Amino acid sequence: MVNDDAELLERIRNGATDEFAVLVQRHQAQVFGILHRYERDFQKVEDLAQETFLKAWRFLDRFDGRAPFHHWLSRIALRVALDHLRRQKRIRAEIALSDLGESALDWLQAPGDEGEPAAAQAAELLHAAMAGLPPEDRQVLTLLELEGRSVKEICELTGFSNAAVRVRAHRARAKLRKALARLESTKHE
Amino acid sequence: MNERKLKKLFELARTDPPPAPSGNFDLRVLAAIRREGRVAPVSWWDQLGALLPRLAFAAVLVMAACLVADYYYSARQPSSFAEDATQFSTETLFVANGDGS
Repeated sequence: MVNDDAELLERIRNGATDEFAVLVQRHQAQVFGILHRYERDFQKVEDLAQETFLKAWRFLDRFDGRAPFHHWLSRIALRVALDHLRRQKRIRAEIALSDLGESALDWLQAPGDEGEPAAAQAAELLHAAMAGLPPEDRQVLTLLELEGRSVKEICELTGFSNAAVRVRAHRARAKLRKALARLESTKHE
Repeated sequence: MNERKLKKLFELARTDPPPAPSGNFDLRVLAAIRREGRVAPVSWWDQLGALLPRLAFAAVLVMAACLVADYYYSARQPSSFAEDATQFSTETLFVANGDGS
């Protein structure tokens, strides 16, 4: 097994197609980790991950090795996620309450922190509340708050300027607060 | 929605583990790649074909430049009508008489 990505990529470029599977095994957890922030359905996450690796395969010649391979792959995964959000936005802009767990909504509604939801339910709640955000704003907020990336890293990954990242994050947070407030009030109806 | 709760929500969601890929995910990707077909290395002819629109454009520019230059220099050095007529008649007569000398 070749340990170094660069060496492995060289072999793949020289025709060892099967060794791309090694590259997939090596980076699949990272790609799934990125994509599941934007899609909760496992089957769809897997489809998006496949699309990511296929794109990486198609554009392998464009990878110049100046940055580590996983950085390059992250950018592709984020682009795939963004395209997915844009497609989804056309399909569903409304929050589907039926998708959410009761306990997550109860916690949201309660004045205190009692009855904290599980991580999966919190993620589900956020996912639903973020569904109405513009895809680019949502991606910036996700990278900042859920992946814990710095503004500089987000600039590198998305190509936005420092100011654009900050503006988008601020705008997205405000919209998210409003969406969550709507969810809180919807529970009473 | 207070700020504390929003922060808590992010904090909780951050710990949500990603789903594990299915066991044969790498093979699935490989199968998709095979379906798509290995991207053939770009041949010399393909590269030339890709360059053709640019080459054609460059050729049009050169032709346009030649025409402009010809027009410009013709305008500056007008030949006399008598010279042109003599040249024309000489060429026409030689051709009409079959005299190739």
